[in-house]
Amino acid sequence: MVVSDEEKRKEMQDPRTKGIASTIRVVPNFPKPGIMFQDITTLLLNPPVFKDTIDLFIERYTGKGISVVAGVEARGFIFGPPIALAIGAKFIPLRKPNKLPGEVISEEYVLEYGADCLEMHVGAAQPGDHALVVDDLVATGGTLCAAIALLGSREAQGEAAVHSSGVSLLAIYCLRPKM
Amino acid sequence: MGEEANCNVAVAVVDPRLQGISDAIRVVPHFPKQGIMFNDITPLLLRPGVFKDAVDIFVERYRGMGIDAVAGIEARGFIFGPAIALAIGAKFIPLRKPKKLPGEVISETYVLEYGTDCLQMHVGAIEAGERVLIVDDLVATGGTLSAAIRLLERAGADVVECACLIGLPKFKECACLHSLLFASERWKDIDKSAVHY
Repeated sequence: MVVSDEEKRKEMQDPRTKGIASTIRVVPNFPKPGIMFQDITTLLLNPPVFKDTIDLFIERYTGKGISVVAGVEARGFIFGPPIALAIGAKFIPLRKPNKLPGEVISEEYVLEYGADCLEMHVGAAQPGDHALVVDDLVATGGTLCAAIALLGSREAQGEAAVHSSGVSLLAIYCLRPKM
Repeated sequence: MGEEANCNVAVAVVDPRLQGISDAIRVVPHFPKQGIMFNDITPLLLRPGVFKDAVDIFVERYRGMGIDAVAGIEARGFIFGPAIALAIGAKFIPLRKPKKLPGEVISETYVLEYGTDCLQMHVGAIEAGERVLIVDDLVATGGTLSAAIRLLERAGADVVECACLIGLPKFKECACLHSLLFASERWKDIDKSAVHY
C-alpha cells in the first residue's frame, strides 16, 4: 500500500491525534507488576474522540483496495468492524482457540512466558484478498505476526499446501506511537 | 362496498433486508458440545452489504431514543455494539470476562447450565440515570443478558433495551427480558404489525 509523503505529513499534524492520546488511560502494574497497561476504554467513553479514531483509519484506508479487515480478539473487534463497514470490506475475527465453530486454521505464537494461539476460519480469506489487520495496541508484534501468518497461509484459503511460515511484516501504522 | 372492504385489509410489510441477514447466519451442529446447534454470525461479517443492513436496522431503531451508552457483551457484542454507538453518538462500554479490564471494576456472577460465569464493567463507565442499550449477537436462555442488566442497574443505569441479532425461542422463558428484548424473532412480530391501508 502506498502512502504519499504529503499524506504522511498531514497525518502527523492532524489535530485529532491529541484528543485520542489524551483519552487513553495508563494503568500501572496490570496485568502484572512492571507492565504499564494502555487502556482504551476511556477513549470509547468519549464519542467524538472514538469517532475521530475511526475516521483517521477510514481516511487512510479508503480507496486502497482493501477487501478484508481482520480484527484480533477482543479489542480488535471494537475498532475493526466500523472500519470494515465504512470501506466496504469483509470483517474476519481472529480468535482465541476453540471459539470459532467449524473448520479453522491455527497459528501459535510465543509470549514472554509461554505461548498463545490465534485461529481463523478456513475460507474466510480468499487468494487475492488485500487484508488490513486491526488491533488496539502493538507491543512486541508477536500477535500481529501470528495474524499475518494466518492470513497469508495457503491453508487458510482452503488449498492443501505447505503452511507458510516466512512472515513479512509489511507496515505498521499507529495513531499514537510510544517511544 | 367492495372498495371499502379492500381499504380495511391490513397488509404486512416485511423488511427486505431480513432475508439476507437470516441467510447469512450459519448453523453449526454440536458446537461447542453435543446437542447444541450453534448460530454462527461470521458468514454475515463476510458480506459487507448484509453486515451493514444489520447495523442499519439497529441504528434506525435506536437513533431517536436518547441512548447515552451502548454496552457490548464480550466478545461478539464488541462486533456490533461499537458501530451502533458510533452511529447514534453514544459511549461504548465493554462488558468483559473476569480480569480483562484494568483498574476498578464491578462484577456480576451468573449461573450457567453447569457452573457459573462472571461479567465485569469499569467503575465510572456509567453515570447514574444514563440510558443504556445492551448488545450481543444472540440471546438463548437470557442468563448473560440478565447479568448485564443487573450489572448496569447496580451502577445506576436505566436499561432501555437489549438488542440481539438472533433470538432463540427459549429467551421467552426469561421474565426480566420480555419487555426489553429486540431480536430477530421479535423483528418478525414487529414487521407483521406494520400495516398499510
